[in-house]
Amino acid sequence: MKALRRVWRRLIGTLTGGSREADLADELESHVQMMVDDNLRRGMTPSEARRAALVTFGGIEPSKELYRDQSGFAWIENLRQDVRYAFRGIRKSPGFTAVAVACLALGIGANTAIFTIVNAVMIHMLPVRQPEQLVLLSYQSKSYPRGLRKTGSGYGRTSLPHVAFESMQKGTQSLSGLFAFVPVGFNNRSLTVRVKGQPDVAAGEMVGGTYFSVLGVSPVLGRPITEEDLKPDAPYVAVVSHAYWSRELGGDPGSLGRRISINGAPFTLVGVAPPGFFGVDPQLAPDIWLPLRDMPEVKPWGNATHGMFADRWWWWCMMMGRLKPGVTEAQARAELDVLFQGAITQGVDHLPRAEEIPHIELTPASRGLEMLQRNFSKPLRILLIAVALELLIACANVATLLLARANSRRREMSVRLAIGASCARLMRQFLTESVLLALGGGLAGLLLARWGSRSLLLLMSGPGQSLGLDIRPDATVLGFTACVSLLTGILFGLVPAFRATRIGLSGQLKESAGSTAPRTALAKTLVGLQVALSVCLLFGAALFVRTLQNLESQDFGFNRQQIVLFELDPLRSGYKPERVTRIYDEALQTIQALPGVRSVTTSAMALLSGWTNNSSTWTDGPAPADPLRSSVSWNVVGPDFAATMGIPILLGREIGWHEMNGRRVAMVNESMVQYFFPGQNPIGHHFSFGGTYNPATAFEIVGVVKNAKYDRVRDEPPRTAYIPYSANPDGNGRMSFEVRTAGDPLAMTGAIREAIRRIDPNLPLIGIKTQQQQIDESLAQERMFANLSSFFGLLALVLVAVGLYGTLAYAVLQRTSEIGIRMALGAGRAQVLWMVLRESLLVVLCGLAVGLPAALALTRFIASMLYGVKPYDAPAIVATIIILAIAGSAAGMLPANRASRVDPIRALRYE
Amino acid sequence: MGENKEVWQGTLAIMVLKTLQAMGPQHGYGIARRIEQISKDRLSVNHGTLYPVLLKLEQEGSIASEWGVSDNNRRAKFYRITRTGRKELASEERNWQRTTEVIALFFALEEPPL
Repeated sequence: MKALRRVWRRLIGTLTGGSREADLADELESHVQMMVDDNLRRGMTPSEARRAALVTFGGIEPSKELYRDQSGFAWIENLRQDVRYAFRGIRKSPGFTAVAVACLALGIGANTAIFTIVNAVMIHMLPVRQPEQLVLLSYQSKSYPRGLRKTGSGYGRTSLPHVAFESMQKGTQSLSGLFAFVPVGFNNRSLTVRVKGQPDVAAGEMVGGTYFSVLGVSPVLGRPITEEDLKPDAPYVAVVSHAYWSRELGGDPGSLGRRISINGAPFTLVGVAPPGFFGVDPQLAPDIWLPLRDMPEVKPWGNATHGMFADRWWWWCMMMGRLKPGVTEAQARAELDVLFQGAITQGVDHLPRAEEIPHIELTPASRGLEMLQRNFSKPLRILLIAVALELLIACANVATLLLARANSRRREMSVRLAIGASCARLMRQFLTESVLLALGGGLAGLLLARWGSRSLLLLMSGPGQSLGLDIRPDATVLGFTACVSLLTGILFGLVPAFRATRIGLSGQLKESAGSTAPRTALAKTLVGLQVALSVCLLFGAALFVRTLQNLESQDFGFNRQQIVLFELDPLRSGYKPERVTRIYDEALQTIQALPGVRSVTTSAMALLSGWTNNSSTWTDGPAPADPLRSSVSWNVVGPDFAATMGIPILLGREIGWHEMNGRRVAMVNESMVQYFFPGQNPIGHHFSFGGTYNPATAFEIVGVVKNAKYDRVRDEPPRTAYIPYSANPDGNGRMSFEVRTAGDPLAMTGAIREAIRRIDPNLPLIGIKTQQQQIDESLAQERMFANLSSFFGLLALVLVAVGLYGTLAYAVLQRTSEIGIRMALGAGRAQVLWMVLRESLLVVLCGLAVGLPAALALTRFIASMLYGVKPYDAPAIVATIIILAIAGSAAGMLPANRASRVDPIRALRYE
Repeated sequence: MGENKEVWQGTLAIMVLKTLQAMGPQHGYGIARRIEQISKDRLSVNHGTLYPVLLKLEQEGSIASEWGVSDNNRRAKFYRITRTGRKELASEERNWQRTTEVIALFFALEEPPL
């Protein structure tokens, strides 16, 4: 209690320090005066009286100091002084401050930008009620159940049968709620929507009646989708995202109840989701939520076929549940597993073998589906390492700047030591200055990071993605930045602080500028360290740039120039499936007739879009050696596909118009021939898809084409078959059109759009781009790495050059008189030039000697991201060395030049 | 040195409190003079060391201060003991007595005969 009261009083004392100080001075003065009065009364002379009084008192200043230590908290008082002093220093050297803060802002800004993304991807939970209670359902089975048809998008085993949903929802005691959801398609163009005027595309998700209530998300306007909306005769309703509502409906509250046309069917808008709610998959934020029910116009995963809802062995539905408080995941899993197995085996005649019956698994889903996390965790980790290196370089840089400053403040320091400041006190002073600089850099870095994380988000979102990431800086990001700033401040401040306080009291006071050797060894070590760090960044950048070059410049097997791509999806505009083929015929003929079009074709999958069809394949020849691995990637194409895409025909003929009559013909590529018909002429042979050879569904091979890449830029061309859309066994849905133009491909889009509008004004062109853009999109991540790593490498190079220049310039300044003597004794300009330059190159060389092994050790982590280069790629090593040598010479040239122009007479006088 | 000072400060605090209790409100000089007189000049106090002790006592609430005028018309700060201070002093006095009694017992021990 007593101690507490004292702390409180001292705190008050700290805050009111000024008035106390005067009070104390008055009090001590009156004390001494009273003593003097007494002494005078005893008969001393006035001067004697005062002297005796002061002796008895025992030193006024030390008493005051002791008093001060107790009156407040000395450290707060000192801190205030230090900060005040540091500010004064900063104001006095604005140039130094600007450079230091800029360096730090770049380093801290880059770190904050990357961390903002890391925070949004890895740390943020879904913006819903108590996200930590959510679990995602998936299945697990020892062997894949035979005959199971699965539709999903790489979410692992999260596709479940819709029939199991109801029995699990009804039967569960351990969940407080369960909801079903499924995207309408694989990208954000899955719906054709007409609000007014021209139809456009949007991202759609179909959700069960409990989706909004279990997530605990209530619309800001109108109502959510409920169980009522799922009934077979209920009217069609839709809920839109806040962003879509603001963008497409002008944020008009009156748009509730409005009719919008989705895939040709009228839907009533009943609600607007709250801002910031992006569904449960940050990778694909829906624009529109629709009820999950069997509708002819909108189907899960954009499927064209019927019967998805009733089929026990067609799994496509995703589910999430909310655990009741106190229920463990294991308890819920056990309960759901029983319900699930009951649902999928009920009324089934021939059950799969017991070990083939899948089990339910639960995974925590507080962050939603974790695809984005999985895709980006490695790239983000690599970027974090890169920016951490960057920050270290910036730290070393500012440390060298501070060292030079500390050198010029040596006299000040020794004076302060001489009049009684302690070493610790001076060190604290130095650290205060550096932390203050770092905080300034942190503030500026926050601004940079705002811009940086936004650009990074754009770089990250692939084609057709709409990322639901919140990158507004929150407490976590601000805390991170504050910590990083503080740590960097201490890190780069420690070296000069130690250095400056290690001054002998005696020597420095009488030292003059010319009498000591320059002390730049420490600075050079720091610059060498920067070189070593930048080697890592530059080498990584070189590898990523070469990877991108290799990917872009390789032979794809087709001609990517002057091709424009777009998609048509007549089913989504209300066409019956049997009429779709007619529309494609018509579109091809109309576009072919346009002036400026060389040729036109169509395919179910655009080349290098990332998508393929894959089926196990049998031929009329002997059974494949390994039926499980004898799959073929196939594409549905229109007439003149090979000719339009520039894929050379090696044998037989191209599928042309005369083949578009339902005949089951096919072109195959070399690698398919080599696999199934080694050493034979495959023309006239047949193959069929499925578990065995079936002559009724077999395709006749009419042509062999050269290998061409299909779905991925990185993959070798797979075994490929091309079959005409007139003979597509699955029926045609959306198709991509490829138009080879005579001139600029994008200049043709207006004419093409007009041509399609003449056929049907309600048929939108989806995703218009050139084939080159398509390739660029598929290389987005590689390009992001090449660009970012080059940027960081360049930044590192600039920082190193500045550091090197600063150190050498200072060294030359210190050695002016020495250089003067050398020149007076006959050293030539070239010799002096080389003397300084050699120092610069020596630092670079030492940095390289340390940095290269480190870089080689680090690149093992990025080996899997490289293409066509080894992690120890010699050209990349040479390039790194050359670039650094050039930077080292450039940075050394200026000071070297200045040194060589030293006038000996002046230099000798230089003090 | 640090520990010595602590002990000294502790005893000095007791002397200050006792002085104020016995003599009523006093300024710093008066307290210093009084301590010297009572100790019969065996203790020679550096008057400066008194002030940190006064501050500590004031912060603890054992004494309070206000500006006033001294006998010979000088402005001076007068300290007086508070109720807390009196309690504090009483308990210090008991502590001190107990300690001296115990120490005395030890000094009374006699060397065993050889």
